[in-house]
Amino acid sequence: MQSKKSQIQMAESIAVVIIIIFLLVIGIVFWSGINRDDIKTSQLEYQDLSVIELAKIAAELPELRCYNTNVVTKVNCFDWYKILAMNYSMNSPSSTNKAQVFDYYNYYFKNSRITIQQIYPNDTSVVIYNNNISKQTTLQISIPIIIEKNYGREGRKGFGLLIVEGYYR
Amino acid sequence: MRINNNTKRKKTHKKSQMEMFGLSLIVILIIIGFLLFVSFRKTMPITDYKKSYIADETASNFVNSVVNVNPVECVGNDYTISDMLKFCARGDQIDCGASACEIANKTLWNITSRTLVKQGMTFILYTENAKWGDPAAEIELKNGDCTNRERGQVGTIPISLYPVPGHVYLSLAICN
Repeated sequence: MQSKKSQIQMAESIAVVIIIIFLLVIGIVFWSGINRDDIKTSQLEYQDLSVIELAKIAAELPELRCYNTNVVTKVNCFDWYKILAMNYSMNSPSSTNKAQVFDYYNYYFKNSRITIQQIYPNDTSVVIYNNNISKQTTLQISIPIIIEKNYGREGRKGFGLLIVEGYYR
Repeated sequence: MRINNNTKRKKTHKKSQMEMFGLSLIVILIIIGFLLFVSFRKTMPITDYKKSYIADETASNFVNSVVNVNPVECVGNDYTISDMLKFCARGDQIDCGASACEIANKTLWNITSRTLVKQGMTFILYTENAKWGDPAAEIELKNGDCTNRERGQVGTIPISLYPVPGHVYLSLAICN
């Protein structure tokens, strides 16, 4: 009688342990699933932050800024002819130092595409840097800018967008 | 003797029932805890820093850039949108084929329709003091509908009416 009772108690204890282990396993699986999602989200956040960083660098490029007697005249002003010159030296097949120029900017812009789109008065766009490794874009940032066509004295100013797109590695 | 055995069996039966009840209570409490945790995680607000960064950059850079644009109507001179708003507020006459207010309105609409509207942004671009004492004559361009509460980042640029005292303000509010 005593042996049967202790057998029942043993079975009960085993059942309790099994249930607790079962619940623990479910908890661990659930927790790891949440953690995996968190890691994915933080990876995406990191990619997006790097695009924001790129946009900040591109918006401050001294090579493209409008200067008047060596002084930056306007905030967010880009010289149209400097944009064309950069596009030529980076992308034209006849450019002699194309590879060096690309390598230099690759250090800053990594896997991204930077386009300057003139909106007003005309609609034209110029890609100044393109290194789309995987073709899967992350975040696209469009920064409103002034595009100046300098003909010698005070240039005519139009409106444009500096478009920065990041790509997944 | 038999009665005594029966009461003992009943007691143990009741005890095991209580234990089962306790066990199931623990299991139910754990499940409720899990559910609470999951619902709490789902309702936690995610700060959309990208959206706020883009809205902030757009609002401030848009007004800063657009006031420097030379309208196509004024070919022979260097008038900008800033000048147009100034002339509009002062009621000055200009030689560009239309009034300063009309040119400013048309150019601003042209630019916003090809940028902010195309990007699907909800916004209000408006002037203040463009017509002294006549609020109906102010420029107001908008896409979508947003009340004061929904207005997110706002970029404003003051334009001096010198030599006349006062300022005209051009503001862009990107709505949440």
